[in-house]
Amino acid sequence: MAYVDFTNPEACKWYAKQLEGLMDIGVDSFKTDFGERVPHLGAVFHDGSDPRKMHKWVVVT
Amino acid sequence: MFHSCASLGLLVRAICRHARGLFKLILVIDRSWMKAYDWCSFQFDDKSFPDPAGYLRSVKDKYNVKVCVWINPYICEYPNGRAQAMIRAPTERSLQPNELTSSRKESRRDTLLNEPTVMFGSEFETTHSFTSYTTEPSALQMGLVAAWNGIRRLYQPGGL
Repeated sequence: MAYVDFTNPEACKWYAKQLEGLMDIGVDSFKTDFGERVPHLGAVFHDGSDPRKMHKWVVVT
Repeated sequence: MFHSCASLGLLVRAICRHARGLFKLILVIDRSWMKAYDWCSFQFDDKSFPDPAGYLRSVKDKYNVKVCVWINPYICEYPNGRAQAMIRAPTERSLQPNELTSSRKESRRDTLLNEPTVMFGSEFETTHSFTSYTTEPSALQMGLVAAWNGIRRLYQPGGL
């Protein structure tokens, strides 16, 4: 599995654009799933962050 | 805490009475509003929602609610064109399927995905197929479930 790498500015821009598209058609808010954890084995973040330390940061995002 | 369903019902009714005007009702459209496997297309399933903007407008007008939709940061196994574009774009680095999991559902998926199948930045390839986790509900069913979720969330301690 994979997940959006929010340490990559391009990925953030893409993600924000998707949410803006939804807001444009009338969505007011979002329920963000998968706040439990971040799969870390073998994960490599764009900015080189340690995947084991990214848990809370990504969840907040 | 509650001695009977009746006392719980009375409490809920009392809360509803006093909450009127204080809170905004929120319609939460939970998972499956995107097509099956489209966890990152951010497009309503056109089978259930042929006109998403019209649907959202109509529920807002009719029920005076705000609308909330479920999202998640997964990259789906079978991404559509938009997601593929995103996967190709950002980075040359790669993510491997996870081997340690916390939920049964993920365990099952990871058992099936027993080799690296997802590459950020260079390619997206999946060689395994598996059955859908959920059947696709009708828009009406989804609306009812979502409305229930919204109401339940509204009265959770500290919720909304």
